[in-house]
Amino acid sequence: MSNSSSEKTEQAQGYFYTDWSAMTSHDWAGMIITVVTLVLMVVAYFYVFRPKNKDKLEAQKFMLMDDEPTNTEKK
Amino acid sequence: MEEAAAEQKYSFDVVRWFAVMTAVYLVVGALVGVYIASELAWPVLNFDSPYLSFGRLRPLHTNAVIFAYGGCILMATAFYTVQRTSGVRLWSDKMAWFTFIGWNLIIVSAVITLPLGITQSKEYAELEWPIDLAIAVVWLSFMFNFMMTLATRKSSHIYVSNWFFMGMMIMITILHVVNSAAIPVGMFKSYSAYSGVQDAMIQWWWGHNAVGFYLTAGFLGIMYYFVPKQANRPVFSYRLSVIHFWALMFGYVWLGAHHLQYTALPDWTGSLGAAVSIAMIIPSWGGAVNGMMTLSGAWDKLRNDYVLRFLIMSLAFYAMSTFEGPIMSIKTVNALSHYTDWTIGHVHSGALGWVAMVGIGALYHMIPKIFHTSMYSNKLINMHFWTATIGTVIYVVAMWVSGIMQGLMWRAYDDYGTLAYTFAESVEAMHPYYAMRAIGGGIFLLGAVIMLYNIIMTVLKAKNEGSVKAAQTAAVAA
Repeated sequence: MSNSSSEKTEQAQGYFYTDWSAMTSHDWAGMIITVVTLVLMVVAYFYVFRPKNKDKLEAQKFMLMDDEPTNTEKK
Repeated sequence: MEEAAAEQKYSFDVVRWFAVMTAVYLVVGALVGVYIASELAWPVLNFDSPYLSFGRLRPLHTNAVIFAYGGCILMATAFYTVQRTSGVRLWSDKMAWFTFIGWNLIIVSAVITLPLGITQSKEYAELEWPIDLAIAVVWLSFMFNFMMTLATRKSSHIYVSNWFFMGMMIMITILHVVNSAAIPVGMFKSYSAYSGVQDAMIQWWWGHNAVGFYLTAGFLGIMYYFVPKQANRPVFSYRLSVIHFWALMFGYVWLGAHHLQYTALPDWTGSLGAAVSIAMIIPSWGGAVNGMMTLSGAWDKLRNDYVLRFLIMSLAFYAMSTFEGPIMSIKTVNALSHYTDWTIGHVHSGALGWVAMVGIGALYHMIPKIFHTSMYSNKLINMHFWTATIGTVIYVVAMWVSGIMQGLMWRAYDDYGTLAYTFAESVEAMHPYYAMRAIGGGIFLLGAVIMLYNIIMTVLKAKNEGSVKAAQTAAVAA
């Protein structure tokens, strides 16, 4: 039992192991873009679903109902 | 009076031409599609002519429906909605005409070169390098005019549909330029700048993003304007539309590798493609629900409003195909589905059910507004709705059954490890489904012809009434 659990731990460690010294410039570029994208996505979710921003954002949906677009936010 | 004010304030001439050409190209694209579908069921239709062979006509079909029909409806609706939501005329009428003429000349060049066998052999990017250059120039003129119109807008906020159109324009520019990089060796021959597995990766980075940004983001731009307008209700949740946009922009570019499972591509890239594909169900369904829930509390509108039926049905297909795609990208499912007709069924549930229907709904909404008259026949719109829906369902079901059967026949083996069926046997087993597909496509084509007739009669009606001229010359109160 303990043997199989240590095997699993080893397997998991192997899965998450990264040989940082072997990273090429392409690998770094890819990793940075991936992490930045993830962070930006989290920021977008936080901004959109923050209760404070609800009224401001939802007000924009009514601009389509006017024949002439109206200013629903200050420039 | 309101119509005259809109006609004089906005630039509708080029929108009118793009709109009419959209209906023409849908008929042409679907006609070629039905013909090649029939060739697969009844190969005698090749007539032993290279110009009519499936290999040459298939890219003509895809180019006609994606770039001719899809391009014209995207350009018509982008130019229409950016003016209406910005409260200003197009930045440059002349540039818009350049876009219209240039795009149509590109379509003509595709019609000439593809049957002649002049091709780069890159899926959805078959056209040779001189035409690729022309596409880049015309596309940039479309984007520049759109952006400059937005830059001169009266409203401070940029409505979400415009964000989707902009996302499409920027990403398609990048994708087209990178994927089309080639070394010309003559006027009509070039070789890709990439080779081997890199070429495959770039090809499917483009291939899936042509779906993701051109056929999805662009058409979502259409959806976010025309569904609320036709329903006469604001979109269900503006916040959801913002998240829908950014999640789509951040997520879609990672998916391409799921087209290359079990190939020479590193295994992890396919897994990453599949993982992000699954994650994309969330924003896609969020968007579909957002569109459908716009009708919340007013579902009765679907009883009489045939145009709204097209738009809502398109969202149902959008939800269905954006669920099916990620499932097919999972390696276990992909092992069965890849290289089979299931893929064709999936593509057409998106293409006929989502892309075509949302575009058709937008067209029916726009035509009376830009020609300042009512549609020639509402009964024909209803008839078109049912032919489009029934045709799509028959097509998709035929391909599902045939695709899964193909996959199962190819992987079946006996106790000795020998394949249970020859490839020819699997082809023979497909025949009834190929015939069924041709019939489904034919019914969809019939609907497209009905729409073209209805639109032509509406244009003639507007001409007889003199409604466009009257709107152009009427005195409008300041």
